[in-house]
Amino acid sequence: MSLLSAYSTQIRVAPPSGPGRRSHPTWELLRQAVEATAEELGGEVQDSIVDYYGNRVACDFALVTPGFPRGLGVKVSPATGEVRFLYDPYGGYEQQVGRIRDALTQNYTALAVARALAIMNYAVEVEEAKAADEQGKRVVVRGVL
Amino acid sequence: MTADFAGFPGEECREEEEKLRQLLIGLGVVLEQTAFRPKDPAEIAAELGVDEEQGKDVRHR
Repeated sequence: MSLLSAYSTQIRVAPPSGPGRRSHPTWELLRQAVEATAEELGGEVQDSIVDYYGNRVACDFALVTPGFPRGLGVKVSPATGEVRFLYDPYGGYEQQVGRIRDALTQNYTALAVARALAIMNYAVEVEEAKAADEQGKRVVVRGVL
Repeated sequence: MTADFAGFPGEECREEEEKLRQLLIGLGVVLEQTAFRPKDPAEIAAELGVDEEQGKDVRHR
């Protein structure tokens, strides 16, 4: 029986508290997803963001883009590994922040699916195309046995 | 995220879906299923006609 499924996704990496946790595969995927998102949006990866007043806030990763120079921070909950986003959208940046957040989640999920399918011995192909609304992209990860 | 499991004649695709879901949890992606549709026999037959040459297929968008 073949099937079609739709899912909502949430990223939860290894909590950073234990020794060597930052070398856990989930942290590596998070780093790759942050770097891919920065490249895609013409930005760079830093370790802090700023708020409207210029106050600096440290994060595990910060995505600073031309569209949102204050930066979107990525902070992992030490207790649960839940990935949280820090940002100050004051001044009408909500849409920009949403785009960065969605791109990061999409890149992380695509990387994880490709890796999971490879572990399951599928041959993996990844295709990217502009989304119909021209705002984001569509990623197809294809696994063939 | 959507997943399209194609070319599976039996219950094997449910097992593959569960295996994928468990691996993704280990890789930091927690999935909550929001929609599910088993394919009808005609769709599966069409896929199997193609898949005799191309193999089984999982697509994630």
